[in-house]
Amino acid sequence: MRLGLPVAVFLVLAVVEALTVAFVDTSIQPLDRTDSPFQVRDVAAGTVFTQRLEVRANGLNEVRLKGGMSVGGRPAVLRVQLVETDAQGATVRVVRTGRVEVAADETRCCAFRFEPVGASRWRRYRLELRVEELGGRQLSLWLAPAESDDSLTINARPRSAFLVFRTFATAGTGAGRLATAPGRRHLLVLLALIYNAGVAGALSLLATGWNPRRA
Amino acid sequence: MQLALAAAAVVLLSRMALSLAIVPPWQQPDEPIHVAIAEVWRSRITGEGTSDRGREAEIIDSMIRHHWWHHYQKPLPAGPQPIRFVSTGAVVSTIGLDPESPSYAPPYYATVGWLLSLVPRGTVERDLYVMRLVSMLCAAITLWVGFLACRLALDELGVATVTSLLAVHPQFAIASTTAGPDALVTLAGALVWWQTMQALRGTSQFRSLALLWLVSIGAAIVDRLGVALLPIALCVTIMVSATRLRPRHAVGLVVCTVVAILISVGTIPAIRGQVEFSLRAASGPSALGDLDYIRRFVAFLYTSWWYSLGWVRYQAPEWWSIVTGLVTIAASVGVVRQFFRRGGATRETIVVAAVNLIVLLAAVGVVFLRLRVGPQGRYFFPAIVPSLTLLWLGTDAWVPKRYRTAGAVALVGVVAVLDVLAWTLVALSAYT
Repeated sequence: MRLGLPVAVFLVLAVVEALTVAFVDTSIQPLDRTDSPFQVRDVAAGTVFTQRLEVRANGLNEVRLKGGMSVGGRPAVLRVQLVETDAQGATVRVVRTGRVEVAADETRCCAFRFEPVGASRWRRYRLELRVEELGGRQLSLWLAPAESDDSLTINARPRSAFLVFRTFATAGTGAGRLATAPGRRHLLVLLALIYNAGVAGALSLLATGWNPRRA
Repeated sequence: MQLALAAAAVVLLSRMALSLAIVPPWQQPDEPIHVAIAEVWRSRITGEGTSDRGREAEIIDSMIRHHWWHHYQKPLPAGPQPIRFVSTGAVVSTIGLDPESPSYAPPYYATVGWLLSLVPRGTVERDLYVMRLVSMLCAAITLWVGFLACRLALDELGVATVTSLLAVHPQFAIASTTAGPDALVTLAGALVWWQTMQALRGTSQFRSLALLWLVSIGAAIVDRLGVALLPIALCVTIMVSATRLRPRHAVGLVVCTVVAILISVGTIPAIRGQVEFSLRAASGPSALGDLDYIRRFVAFLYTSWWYSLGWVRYQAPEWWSIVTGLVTIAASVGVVRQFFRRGGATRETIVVAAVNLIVLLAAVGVVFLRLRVGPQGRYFFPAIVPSLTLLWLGTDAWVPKRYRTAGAVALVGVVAVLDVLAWTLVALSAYT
């Protein structure tokens, strides 16, 4: 039996699994958007955004907005605060505060990195973002339309949209989540290997007309 | 050919085992009420006297321990911990009301209750997993029956392709590990498809139609979803009569069948109860005029046919759905192409498979467009084998003859990779 195809299929599946488990962070529940995202240009200094988010992994340590900033002579400054809320949106406590400085030659905006929040899974947060100083530069942020208006406010006014953003957490990837459960990790790896072998066998049989000896 | 079935069985079993290992208790749709009804039957069989025969308090306690409300994205009801499903507030209509209600047809629950009664009373989680294993067994038999049906409907390459597709279909393995009667109805649907093909390709039409009707009536008695198999059986009977029997026999058979349906719906309480319940539940005005609702209704039906997890709270990423959309659109256009290009047997297979889907769509539409609750794609699983048959035939229409094998490998490979991505990106992130 020629081993080329089954080995290749097995390896492709294993690589896809390994890469997604090791590198793809899924620490946030995706928000339901109703239409294509759009860009808000020329955000003025002093504008305050608040964005609600529910985190699905422990160790939340970064919120990265999708936006851009024109090149300028001075750094721009944004004030950021992460506030834990209850289900109704009422403040429980301020979890992290910080300042994001966008360098004069930086055109992407913005990543808010902070000390990991240990028990962030299942918790709800409100990201408060204040554009403090733009230094004569133009800030644009991406928003996506949403059905409800309880997710985002701009200058305290609710909007039927949400900021386009990603989150990262120390336990945000599959590998990070399974790091604390070695028994389960071994079981899942074993089952995944059996699965890969089964798919490799099935595709190989398809390709060879159900005759494993055919070259 | 048997090797192809064996490989598909290994794939399906490993994926169902993955589902058992990853998806926590109560995370499959309606599991709490299904387990509670089975517990009621177990208590009846063992003669256990208790005020909570459905063990609702234990199930709710277990749901809390397994973060059900977190996954459902609703707050836990305020005040003391509820001990009955009706007191769970936000989710009351979702997880069902009363496990003692006679509206739940006994055959499935009594059988599972009897199985549970064979061992000493254990935790509700253990009973849940026993029910999940029963569903897995049904799914494994569905794969085998699907294989037998494909042998009658398709050539060798088609048989292996559709069997492999069933094994790697992202939602099928997940739905097949749900503690509930759905997997049994899916098996009944596969049996109906097998006997349809037997009636169309074989020589003993009467035997096949008799078996087909027996299975359809059985499915209708087991679960409301199974009622949809009755019109499918009627359509198949008409089709077989028209194409395979002498006109006099055909008319006689169809008339007898229609009379038999009317009598059975009117007199067999189990079937009448299922039909009445479905129509009563759907007593409101239909949303047929609301085009925006219809669009969302169909879109969700479609996306959740491919993938949906945890009481439809976890969906595949958008780009993932776009890929499945492209595969489906190509196959759908290809089916039309095949229909006009090919003659005889293939055209007949396409028509019967399409009838399966149309009848299920109509049944789902009649009930759910009135309920105004989004139905899930798994309600189409009684027709999963004909659906995948269409998927293959439609894809095959675009592939030059000498590359058919490569086309089959590519189709199964793409679905397998999508499945792997759904496990790693959605299931693993939701439940670990």
